[in-house]
Amino acid sequence: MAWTTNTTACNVLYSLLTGPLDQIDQSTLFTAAGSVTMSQLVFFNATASPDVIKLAATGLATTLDSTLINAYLCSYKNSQTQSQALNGLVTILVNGQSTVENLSDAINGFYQFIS
Amino acid sequence: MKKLLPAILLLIFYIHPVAYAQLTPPGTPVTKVINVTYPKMSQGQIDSIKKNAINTIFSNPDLYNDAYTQFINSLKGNPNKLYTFMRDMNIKFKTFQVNNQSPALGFEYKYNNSWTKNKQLPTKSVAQSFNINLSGNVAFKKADNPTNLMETGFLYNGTSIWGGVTKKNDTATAKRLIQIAGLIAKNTIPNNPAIEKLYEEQNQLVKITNQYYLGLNVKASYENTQDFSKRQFVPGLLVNAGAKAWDKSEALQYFNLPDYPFALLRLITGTDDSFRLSGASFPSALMGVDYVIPNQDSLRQAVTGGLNPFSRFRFEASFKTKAARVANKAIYFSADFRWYRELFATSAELGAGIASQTYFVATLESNNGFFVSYTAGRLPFDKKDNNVYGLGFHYNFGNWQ
Repeated sequence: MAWTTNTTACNVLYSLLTGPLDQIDQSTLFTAAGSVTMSQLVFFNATASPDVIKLAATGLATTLDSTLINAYLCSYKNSQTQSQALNGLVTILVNGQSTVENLSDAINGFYQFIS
Repeated sequence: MKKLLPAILLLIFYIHPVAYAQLTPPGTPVTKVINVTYPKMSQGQIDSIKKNAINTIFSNPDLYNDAYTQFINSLKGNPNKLYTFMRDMNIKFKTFQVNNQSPALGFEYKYNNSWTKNKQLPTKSVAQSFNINLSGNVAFKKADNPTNLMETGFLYNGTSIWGGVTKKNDTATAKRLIQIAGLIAKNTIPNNPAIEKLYEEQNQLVKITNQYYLGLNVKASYENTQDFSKRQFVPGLLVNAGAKAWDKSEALQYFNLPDYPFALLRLITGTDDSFRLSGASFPSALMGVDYVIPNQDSLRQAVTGGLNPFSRFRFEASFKTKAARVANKAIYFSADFRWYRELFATSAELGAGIASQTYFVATLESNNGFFVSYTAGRLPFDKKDNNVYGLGFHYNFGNWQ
């Protein structure tokens, strides 16, 4: 999967991270946002212990899941469960080297957007 | 291991000559450059120049960062468990400098992996996870290591999360949100007023409630110094708490006390058009008790006459927020404070300064990788308090182009 404006998951993730979730500064345009790493997001304090980062990542994953399901009316793809989706998101979020593009790939894999 | 690692890196360096291509024509082996003979120079002078050249090249952490990145990329062609492990292993080569000593080469490593199970209840969600964490700093000369603590940890975490949810939209609203997302993503003009209106509309349609989380951690970790001269097994119990003030109409945002000076700074620098506290940057805290079983700790043995296990209180507070935007680049401030205090310490332990440690680190970092950092205090096993300043670039190996 590429980081492209042709993919709804990319667009929605970008608009959420620069908007309500306030994780990326709005001066970062879409083209540059795909390579932004988790360690550069506001929730991820790289100077903190992994315990602190994990809790913040779990909280953000829960909010992201709720937003996709309730605000965007997404459903879980291929009979996957909320637990699997959250697990997948947290795995990406706790890895400081994962990129926003990696996160959008995960969202695209777990969530079906309405057409 | 410490002797083997430089050899492995040298091997990687020779396999990937691209790393020094900017100094010499592409494809030129290092040995050929080094072995050029110069007339009118004595053999001693030539050897001295060679030695200096080699020292300069091989004392630069950028060389190792580049070579390591090339090594990771070479594994990409044949994805396997080794590649997955190496990809997730965050290694950053850097120089250490303590007080007025000369810089010393070394690296920092971090590896985190976790397995999680989640359950959604009517009023909250509960996440349970099992983690493995490896972290530490390794100086190629161990005496130059200012933050000499390596940690290998296993952790069970049960986290309850209240809030952080959005209300259910109807289909038309959801479609409008997707349309807004597409328009925002296609924008190529910074500070575009039309896009700011779209963000406002999106904020009206995506209302997230305030979020509170409380975690219970059961932990077992193994701490050691770089040369394993001191090591100890540390089981522990931790309580971890945090919040996010997503809802701007609620009062929680006003309790984000550390963000007040940065909200003012953002206003002064024109980053924000009004005094606005960040809901996403709420501080988090962790406290708990570790049970420490020292195995080899000569200082403790000399002070206490033995290596008896002891309980240690631990507190950590963490905070990150956007400080300002300069030349269309956001600059983030991160800080972390840790306090370790031995419970029921004897007067001898207090007098020797081994009963309590504090550690503070603060950084200013731009998304292009440039950072300035300040570290004060010490972690367990550090011999003395240090003030360490850092300046440099962070490399993200996974994004190497």
